[in-house]
Amino acid sequence: MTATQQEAPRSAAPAGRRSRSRRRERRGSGFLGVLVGLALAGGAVGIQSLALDSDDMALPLTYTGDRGEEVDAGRFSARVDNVETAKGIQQSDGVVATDQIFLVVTLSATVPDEPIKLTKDPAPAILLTAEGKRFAATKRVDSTLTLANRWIQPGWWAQGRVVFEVPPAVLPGSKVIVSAPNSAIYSEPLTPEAELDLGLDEEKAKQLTAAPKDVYPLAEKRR
Amino acid sequence: MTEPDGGTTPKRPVAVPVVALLAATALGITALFGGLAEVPTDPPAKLAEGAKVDQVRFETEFLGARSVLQKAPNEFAEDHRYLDVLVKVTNKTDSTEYVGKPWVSESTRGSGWGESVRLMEPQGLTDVMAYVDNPERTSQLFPDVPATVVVRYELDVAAQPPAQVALKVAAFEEAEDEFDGHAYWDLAGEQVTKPDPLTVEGLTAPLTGDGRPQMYNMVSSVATVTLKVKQEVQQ
Repeated sequence: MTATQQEAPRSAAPAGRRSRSRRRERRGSGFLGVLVGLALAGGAVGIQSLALDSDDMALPLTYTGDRGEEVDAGRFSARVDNVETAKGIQQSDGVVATDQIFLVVTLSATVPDEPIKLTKDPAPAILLTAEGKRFAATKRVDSTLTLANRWIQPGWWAQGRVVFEVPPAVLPGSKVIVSAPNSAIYSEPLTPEAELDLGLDEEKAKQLTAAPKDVYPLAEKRR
Repeated sequence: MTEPDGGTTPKRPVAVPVVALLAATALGITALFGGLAEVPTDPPAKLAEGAKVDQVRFETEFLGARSVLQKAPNEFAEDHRYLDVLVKVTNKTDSTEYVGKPWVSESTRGSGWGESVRLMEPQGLTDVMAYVDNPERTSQLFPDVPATVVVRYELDVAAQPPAQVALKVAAFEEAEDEFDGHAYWDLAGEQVTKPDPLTVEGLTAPLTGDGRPQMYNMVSSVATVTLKVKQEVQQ
């Protein structure tokens, strides 16, 4: 449109100035082309800043829910059934004791089609505290006695326990995270995980830490 | 528009290229002298029993050292003599970290917390492990929870145990991966390219293969800890 508007005075101009004005027009369109090119290049570069960097790609897709609620994380569903505390854990070869506290979380899980074990390395489950600290499930307890060793199959809910060794002060507002397994060789981006609130307010946490079980029978219940 | 205008010579803008040239020269000189980054000149602290070392990722208190003679429990086993270094490690990050293995040499750098500890005296002990001092000998270091860690070097059973041990301790810093940019913990040190690309040797170095210029982390220690060794028999 601008071209036709400029055409009218130009045709009226004397013959001697015509060539120069044409050159100017050509230069003008070239300038416009450079502008459009810069805008496109700038846009392309700018869009790259929206791309996920490798730290973001390594982050999981988190599905959240409250205690007792079934959280559907796509590849599996999970829920918190029970939360208990203990000063010792009974295993087949003896009792593991702690000077802090063992938090025993009973979880149930099912899958829509592919069977999995909830054993994302390095820990089958993580306790996320209200302050954002991450406690991996303790290796002091034999992991074959925990949820990590249960096949989660389609069609029914498999129940298992995960055990954390934590200072009693971190219990209020804490959540448990279980995650789909990931390959050690190629770590799949955006793996699904379920973040399940344990429903521990200050009062409930105080009750739990005040009266821990002396010995929690983890081995005998599985037999 | 700079059109020839009947005899007068056109004025050329001189200031811009002159300033650009000066700026480039100044930048070049600054780069040649190693840039504007300050080189840390603090010598490593000399510490003894009870000293705390801030390693950014961890805080480590050096409790002491002992030599342990472990008698064979049965005929099929053998006696062992160990040199133990006892430390209290507090994980200062937000997630669970691992004790890992201590530094032995450039090719076996160790892992986790252990990577930051290197035995300087006595020399030549390469059989080493480290674990949290609980019956299960786990490796987990939970956030803000101090844990007693045993660093255990295997000694020759027949030899006289050393009177003291000296360790070099490094700090950690968060680094970014060269290729995909993910963040990870590395030992704190100066990143140096060898051979230096600004020298003849660096310029003529092959682009691939063993002699190519590569980045090296020149790890520097923040402390040297010397501990007296207590003699103990059996455990």
